[in-house]
Amino acid sequence: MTHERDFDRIARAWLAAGPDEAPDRAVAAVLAAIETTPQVRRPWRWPLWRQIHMTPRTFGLVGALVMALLVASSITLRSPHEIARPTSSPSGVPTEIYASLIDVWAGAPRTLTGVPTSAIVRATFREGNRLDISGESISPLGVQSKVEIMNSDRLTLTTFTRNSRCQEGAVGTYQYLLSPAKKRLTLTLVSDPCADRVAAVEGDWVRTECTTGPGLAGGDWDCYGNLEAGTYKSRAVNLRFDISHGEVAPITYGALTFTVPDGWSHVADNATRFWLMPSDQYPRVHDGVPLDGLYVFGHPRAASTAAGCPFEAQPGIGITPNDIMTFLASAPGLKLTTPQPITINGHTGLSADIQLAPDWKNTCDWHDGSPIAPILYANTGLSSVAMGTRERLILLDIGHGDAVGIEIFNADASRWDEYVAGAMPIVESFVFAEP
Amino acid sequence: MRDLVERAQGGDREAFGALVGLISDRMYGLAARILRDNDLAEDALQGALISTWRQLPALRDPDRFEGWVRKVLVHACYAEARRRRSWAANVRVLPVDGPAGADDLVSIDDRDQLDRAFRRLSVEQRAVFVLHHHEGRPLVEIADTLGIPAGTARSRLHYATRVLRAAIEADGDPLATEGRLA
Repeated sequence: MTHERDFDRIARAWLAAGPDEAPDRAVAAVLAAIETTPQVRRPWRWPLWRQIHMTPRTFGLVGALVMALLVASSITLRSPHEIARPTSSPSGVPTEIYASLIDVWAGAPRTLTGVPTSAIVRATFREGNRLDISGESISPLGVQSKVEIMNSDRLTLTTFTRNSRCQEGAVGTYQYLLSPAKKRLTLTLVSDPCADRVAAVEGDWVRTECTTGPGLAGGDWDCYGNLEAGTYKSRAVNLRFDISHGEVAPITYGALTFTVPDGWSHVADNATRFWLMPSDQYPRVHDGVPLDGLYVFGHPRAASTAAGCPFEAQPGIGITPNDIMTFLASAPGLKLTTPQPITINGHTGLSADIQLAPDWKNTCDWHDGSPIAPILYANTGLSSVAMGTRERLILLDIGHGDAVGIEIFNADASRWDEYVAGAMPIVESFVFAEP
Repeated sequence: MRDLVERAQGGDREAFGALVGLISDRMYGLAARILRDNDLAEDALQGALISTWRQLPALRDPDRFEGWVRKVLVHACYAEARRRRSWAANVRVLPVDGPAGADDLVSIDDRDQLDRAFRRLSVEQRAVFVLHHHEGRPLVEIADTLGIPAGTARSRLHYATRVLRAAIEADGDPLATEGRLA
């Protein structure tokens, strides 16, 4: 037996062997997020109300006061995401045009003088005609500028602080172009004496309407949210990094280029996971119920078939699409269609549709007790199929020893044909960046 | 720290940034040990700190800031663990990084057994175990932090200890274990 005191020593030693330093990117993401996150301020303490004797007269007065406060707070406490989003194209009125820009926009990596490249970059148009550009290595104050809309396609940026990378009073002029649904913004240099502001500002930006949050998105609030039809670059997913070494995957902008029609949302995009879903389901993303999704991740492995569904790969199974599909075709609990060859962006692989075997009764330790079977273990964890759900699994060899898994997951198999027909064109649009 | 907390309560983002610098390592270490997953811990840390910023004006006693953040973080860990269970696909669980051979008290076999057994505990049991054995906090304080009765904290610790002890005892020769630790 192990004595109590010995166990305490072992437990402490075991716990001591864990990380003690928060990743810089996590801290940077928090600091960037609070730049645009308002604090919650309550005007008074609610318990006081319980002590007030409510006569009909005071009840009426209180009711009127509450209504007035609700109206006032709806005006003053709205977040940037809720402010002045016009439903039609901006008019020629500068204030209305600027109002249509107020939001947080995501851009490609930027490198400013003397600091490392920032992979996650945000442009924030704030109330009061102010623009901040921020990133892991870019202080929001660095190129902070006053914005003036000149006409229907020109704006100026003026440095108004001394603690800036630009000289106080420096004026830059840029051409701006908003997409039809105002999801995308292109800023093109006309003239600007401040080189760092040019590096920070110029280029394409995507409006972030991310309601997923770090809890689900796994890293930041910078998913794009609801997408306008068009072609986009992934924001962070790293499809070529094998996390099995226990290291933290570096994020990579543009590892995947994808084209969507209207009606899709960009839900999560972090170092190990890329996730789209139909926009009509996106509002339910926090409900904790299975939803349709289109997932892309690197380094898939066949999941372990051991009891309880541990988060492990099945030992002894190869890593090629053929190795994995061959194993899955006879894996317990899974019913696969015959794997078919598929080519996407010139990369070959296999595709098969997967459902739970009708007679499968086993569950997983981490599930709710109903039948479920694991499919893949990957950098992003474990994928699975439960009763009534269905998925198309595509495994591709993307060269250089790397493979990707693509899952078109359908939470309600009765809508399968329609769903997969809508999702496949997106998959067929994928372009995988070379390392 | 009190001055920074008061300034941050007033909306000073720079002060809050300084607070994040003071506590983020400790909080991340706590989350990583409860969740045994670096990515989930990162998510929990970010969610907790952003939530802390939002709710900070409501903190009545600035001197209790760190304990309050710890409470928010542990609940963020609960949420992460539950979301992990509820996802139909792409659930991430990764080994926690750590310096190899950090302490010779724990053999590789023991580590493996403890890792496996720990994953079988509920996240609530894990939180009590980590707060007690890693942070050295007494049960009364843990109960206060987690907002649970002291008896519940005690029973969670007892169960977790029993499971983990059984894990390292079941696998090896009891005499050898006894001898190694003597």
